[in-house]
Amino acid sequence: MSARVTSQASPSLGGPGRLAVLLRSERLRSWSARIGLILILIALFLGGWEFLKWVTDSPRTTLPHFHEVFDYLFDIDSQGNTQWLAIGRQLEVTFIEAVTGLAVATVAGFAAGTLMALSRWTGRGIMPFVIGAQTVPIVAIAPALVIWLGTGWETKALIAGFLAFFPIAVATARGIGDISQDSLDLMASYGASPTRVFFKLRVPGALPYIFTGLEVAAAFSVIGAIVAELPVGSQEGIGVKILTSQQYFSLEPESLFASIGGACLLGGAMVSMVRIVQLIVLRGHRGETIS
Amino acid sequence: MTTTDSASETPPTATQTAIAFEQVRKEFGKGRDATLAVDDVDLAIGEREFVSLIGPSGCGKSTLLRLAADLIEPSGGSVLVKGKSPRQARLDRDYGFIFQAPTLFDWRTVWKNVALPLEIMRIPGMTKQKKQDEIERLLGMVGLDGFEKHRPYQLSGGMQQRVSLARALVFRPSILLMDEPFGALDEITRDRMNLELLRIWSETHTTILFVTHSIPEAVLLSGRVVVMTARPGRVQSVIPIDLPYPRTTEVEESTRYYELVTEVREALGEAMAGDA
Ligand SMILES: Nc1ncnc2c1ncn2[C@@H]1O[C@H](COP(=O)(O)OP(=O)(O)O)[C@@H](O)[C@H]1O
Ligand SMILES: [Mg+2]
Repeated sequence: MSARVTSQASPSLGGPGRLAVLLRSERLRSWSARIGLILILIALFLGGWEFLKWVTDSPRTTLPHFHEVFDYLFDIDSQGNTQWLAIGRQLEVTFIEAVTGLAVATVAGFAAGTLMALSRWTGRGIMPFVIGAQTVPIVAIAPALVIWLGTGWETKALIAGFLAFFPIAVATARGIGDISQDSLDLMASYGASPTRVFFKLRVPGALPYIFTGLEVAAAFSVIGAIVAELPVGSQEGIGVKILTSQQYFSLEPESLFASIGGACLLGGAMVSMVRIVQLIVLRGHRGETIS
Repeated sequence: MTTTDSASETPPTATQTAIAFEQVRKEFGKGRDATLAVDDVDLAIGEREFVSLIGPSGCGKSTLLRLAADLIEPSGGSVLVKGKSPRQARLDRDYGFIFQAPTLFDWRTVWKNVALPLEIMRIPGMTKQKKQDEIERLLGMVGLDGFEKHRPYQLSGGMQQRVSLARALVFRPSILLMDEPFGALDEITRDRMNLELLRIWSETHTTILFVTHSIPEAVLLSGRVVVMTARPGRVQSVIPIDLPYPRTTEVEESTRYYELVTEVREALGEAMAGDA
């Protein structure tokens, strides 16, 4: 009441006064801080890029100006498309490979992690394979896999999934197994069946762990898909685009940088996707409230 | 109504035995690493009785509670809950267990935490409407109206423990097994919880086996206080508390109360001395 009276009495102060109140609110401050941080990072990145070019005195054929790369996106390629559309099409191919791989890895990793946590014998049988999944130098054997399985997108999804499997399996095993004895006793005191204990306690309790694993897995799936595209014979994907751009580097250096940038954005988009799902699924979990 | 009801219960007459420990022994581990947690425990708790277990830490209070709850099995002797094996009693949902930590599920609201036992048990005749009414009534009883949508971590420790109490009462078990439920609370909250518990006990006609390390709490609440010794845990003495119910904080000003507190303290002192 009194606040309204004052703001009416001094309208000249009403505007900035209200803005100050708004700026002081927690939510807005955290958002503006976040956006501010992103802007600062972008500025630092661009500044660093141009500074590097200036210090090393690099010609366009080594390191073009950032704006040259940006302009390149709107050039027209031999098929009459803009370059950003051409890059986007390749990104879409890689995205589908990575997403498919991630989906398969989520199902397989969840199952393997659950077995590892709950079943002594099956868990022990699976363990070597899960450890194997991590230690196999997939980057090195990807070319062989492509030769054996063909250059189709399924092969690349498989390799992406292979890489994404490990973090999900480990996170699931940790989460499903790491339930307090009191909680388990509580469920036992209700005479709850193992299935009930699993779905009402273990799975919801494990979700924060699983999502941490999923975030890592999302980044790995993109890496896996790109690596799988690199062996000769592949036709599509951002990996192929990077490789060909490298071959024509002296003619069109901007193409390589634009493709690399696209690949980075794809990785970021995949991780963000997982984060958004996490925010929705873990709504109300401790520390997961949207700020 | 509750006044006459609970007054007529004084002293609680053990018409039927709710929990019976006979020659109970519990050993953890095997061979040289084995710990004899409790040995030779004979104890009968009558229906609608309020009995406290008190003793030095590690004397096997939790072990006795967990034996009655079928969370562990005895190494020797027998435990009967309402004349049945603890396993049968557990499957029949005869008891509610309340832990020292509230043990609420963070991903559930207060309301959903209290509803958890009902989701698991599927009690016959429990319609959706009855469930809702019951949860609402219990949350009111423990003084948590308006907190239905809160998450456990948004509540104070005392409020969390009250949610856990409501959750244990929602399926109307005839026995409550409480393991130092108010041990982590501040004195003021604890006093209030004690009075609430007494009220709930007289209203719901439950049998309560209550573990505590507070002598005043044991005397204020119980019909009998069981003092235990450690290594191995045994029953040292059983002290009847002949203060009339219903009890309020005024009881704590009576001379009889002081005498009983002293009696329990001395018994506990002997238990500790035997230990050393
Ligand atoms: N799961 C267990 N494994 C091994 N020893 C245990 C276990 N539970 C309790 N004990 C031992 O049994 C004894 C009694 O423990 P407990 O019943 O928890 O005591 P209290 O609740 O009276 O403090 C202690 O010596 C404790 O170390
Ligand atoms: Mg204990």
